[in-house]
Amino acid sequence: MKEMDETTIKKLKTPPFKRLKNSFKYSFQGLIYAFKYEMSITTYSIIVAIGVSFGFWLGNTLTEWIIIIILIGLILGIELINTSLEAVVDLCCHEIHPLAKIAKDTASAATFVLSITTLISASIIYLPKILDKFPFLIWWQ
Amino acid sequence: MNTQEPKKRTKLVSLKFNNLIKYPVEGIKYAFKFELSMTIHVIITVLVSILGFLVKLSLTEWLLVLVMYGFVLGGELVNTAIEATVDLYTKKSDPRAMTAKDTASAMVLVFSISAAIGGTLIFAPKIINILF
Repeated sequence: MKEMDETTIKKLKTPPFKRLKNSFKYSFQGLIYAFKYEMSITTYSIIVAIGVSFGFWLGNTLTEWIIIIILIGLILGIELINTSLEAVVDLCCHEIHPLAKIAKDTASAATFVLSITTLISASIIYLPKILDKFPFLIWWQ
Repeated sequence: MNTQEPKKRTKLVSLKFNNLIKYPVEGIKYAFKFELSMTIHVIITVLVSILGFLVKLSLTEWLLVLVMYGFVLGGELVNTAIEATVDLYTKKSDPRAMTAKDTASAMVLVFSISAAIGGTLIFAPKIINILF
């Protein structure tokens, strides 16, 4: 890099172990913030709890568990990045602006797309098992 | 703020294909140089790959491991991008800047926790089989 700004220099001056400790500290602060003030994170956590208990009840295989865990991580992470981007936009722009609208809308569209794909893959995993347990649900046969 | 409209894209396919490669490579170079956590993630990635060759993962397991690599490293890069954006706007401490940076790093934390749990579920049975 040709030129470094002062924050990078300041970051490089702190010792590596302290940097790691700080990054964990701030990450947990961010998690706590999101759980306190973001409605969607709470909603997703409830859905995640329901999905995990369904998994224990229906007896997933190992691969299915791994896929479910990847999906949970992706969806909670994307929700956090949506919160973060909203905070960035609020930080730099106080009035209504088309570019701010684009930023916020595409960030929430990302969570929307991801929740639809998660819903589809979760139903592909769970629906056959539920139909196996309750055969009367197949009413058309 | 200026009343600048979002610019309309005239060409559907950009002919400057060069830039599609150049800027991502520059970003990855920056992240490798200045981000400690990126280095740690890459070291863990290499170690997990070596372990994967040793315990002979199946194709599905390799795919899952690759997906996990992808979203952890990508999340780390997005975190760097958001930190740079916040630094670009303000150098002072601001509660909203704090929220932005903290939640961006919480995303990486959530991604790495889920990748760690998934990796343990893949590797632990195989290692236990080999050891005992």
